[in-house]
Amino acid sequence: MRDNTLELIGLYMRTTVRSWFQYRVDALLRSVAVFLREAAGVIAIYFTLLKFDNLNGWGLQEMMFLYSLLFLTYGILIIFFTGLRDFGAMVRTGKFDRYILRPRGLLFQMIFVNADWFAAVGHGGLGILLFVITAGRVGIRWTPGTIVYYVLAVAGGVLIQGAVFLFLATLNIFLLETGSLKELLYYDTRKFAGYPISIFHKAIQCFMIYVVPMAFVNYFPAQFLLRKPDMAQFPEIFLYIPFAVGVGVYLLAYLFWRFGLRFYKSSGN
Amino acid sequence: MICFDKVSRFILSEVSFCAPKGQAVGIVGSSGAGKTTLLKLACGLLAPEQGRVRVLGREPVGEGRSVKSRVGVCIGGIPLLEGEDTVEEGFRMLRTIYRIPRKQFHECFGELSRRLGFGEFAGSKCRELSAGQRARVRLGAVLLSDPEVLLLDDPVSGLDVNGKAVFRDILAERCRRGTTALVTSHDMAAISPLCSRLALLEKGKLLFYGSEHTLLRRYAPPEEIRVRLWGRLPDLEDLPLDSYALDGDELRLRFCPTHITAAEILKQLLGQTGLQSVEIHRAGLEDVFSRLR
Repeated sequence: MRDNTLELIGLYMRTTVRSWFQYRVDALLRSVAVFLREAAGVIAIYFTLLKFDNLNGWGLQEMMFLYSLLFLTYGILIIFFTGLRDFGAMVRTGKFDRYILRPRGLLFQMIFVNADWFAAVGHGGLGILLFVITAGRVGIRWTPGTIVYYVLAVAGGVLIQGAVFLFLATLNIFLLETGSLKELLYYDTRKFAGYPISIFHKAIQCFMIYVVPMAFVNYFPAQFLLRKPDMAQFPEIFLYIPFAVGVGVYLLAYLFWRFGLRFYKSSGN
Repeated sequence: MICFDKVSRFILSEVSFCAPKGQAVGIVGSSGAGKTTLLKLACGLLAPEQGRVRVLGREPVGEGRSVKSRVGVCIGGIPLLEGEDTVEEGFRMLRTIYRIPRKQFHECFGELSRRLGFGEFAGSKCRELSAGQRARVRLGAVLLSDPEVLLLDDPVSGLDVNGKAVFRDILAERCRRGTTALVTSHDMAAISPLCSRLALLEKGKLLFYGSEHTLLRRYAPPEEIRVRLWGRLPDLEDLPLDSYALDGDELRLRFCPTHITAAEILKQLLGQTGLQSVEIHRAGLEDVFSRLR
């Protein structure tokens, strides 16, 4: 039978965009609003940091480069993982049951039915802007090797955050509501990831390396490219494994997801 | 074939029956009897706590795409189409999801839209449809991929008389072609013409499984004939009646329809006396169900 996956992705995208455009002005302003909201946060940090020379050896431009990785990966993340981020609502509205019943991959449907393109433009756009502003000013020698590393690091960062969403979505099957846990495990950890983790207490560093490995989303990739002195307190191997960590934690989260699905209880009708 | 072997889940307790290929089985029961739970077990949305469910020879929970594409499910609360899509766009989406060849899609969509009568609002958005229109579209959507197994939760709800008749015809045609169907309803009178077998559920227990004929023969309460006499009291000694009573000129005769028919009784009476009026009170499926509960 002819594979029509691309045709289906196109149809899902059209439906998503149309759904957003149900409220036209809101849809058009959404990307701008997300961009401005996140940019305001970055600007606030920018002016705060102007008071300091550096933060544990990290200058202003380098900090913004760190941020660029965070925004860029999140921008890509919400193209693919909005369905998992909003999994609870999907279960409550019966849409998840619909995906289970359809003869298509469950994760495939959740990924492509719910892509949040407008927010992705806002977050990703800010990430790209910060990258463009800082990439040439932080002393990185862009060679084919560093470019490949950067691309793999971004992919790894997306997978790490996707794994967190997938893990939380699976927990949703057991706990029904995981909003607070999501705040704690993802959004709060992401706030820490905006800074070099070397400035934090050991416990937070361990949490960001071994529990929710957000340090591999931006800190260690940035360290590979910038080689700041505070890297001395971490094993050098961390510089080379962000992509592997991404694949590893995503596979673990996927196995947990497969396990959790066995316990899924369809809601009442 | 759909088989339940001593299946327990939520309210359902040790439910066992098999729906053979090409048969439509009506699952009847009052609210909360476990009808929808039974369908969710059959489509793999729920796993049994005890017992075994088999659909098309496989256990439906976690079953792959090849089996899912052969099962059509319509359960309340699970949307089949996107609200923002028009009916036609929604069906095109289903065509792509179920990989239905274009030619087959156009033929099937044309036929279903004509017969179920949603062609006239095929350009309307799904969220703007009335309840009755939505019911027709949902049925069309579930029938589109021509599934081998149909699991339909209260499909006649919201349909008018014409819609019910059309749906009955379509279901009968599909069953003749080998489709197996489980159809739930709390309205026994609405469902019995659609189905060759009935499964009566009450508080999660299967009270009866078999044909309507068997159900009536085995569990129908006595029928009653009321006649106003136009002459002398007839001799009733030879008739196999449960009881009889005379109230003025009205004679009430209670009898079991498996022993003697109303026609046979009336023939006997008319041979002996004249009758001013005749009323026959026959038990319906609802009476049988009430009696079984």
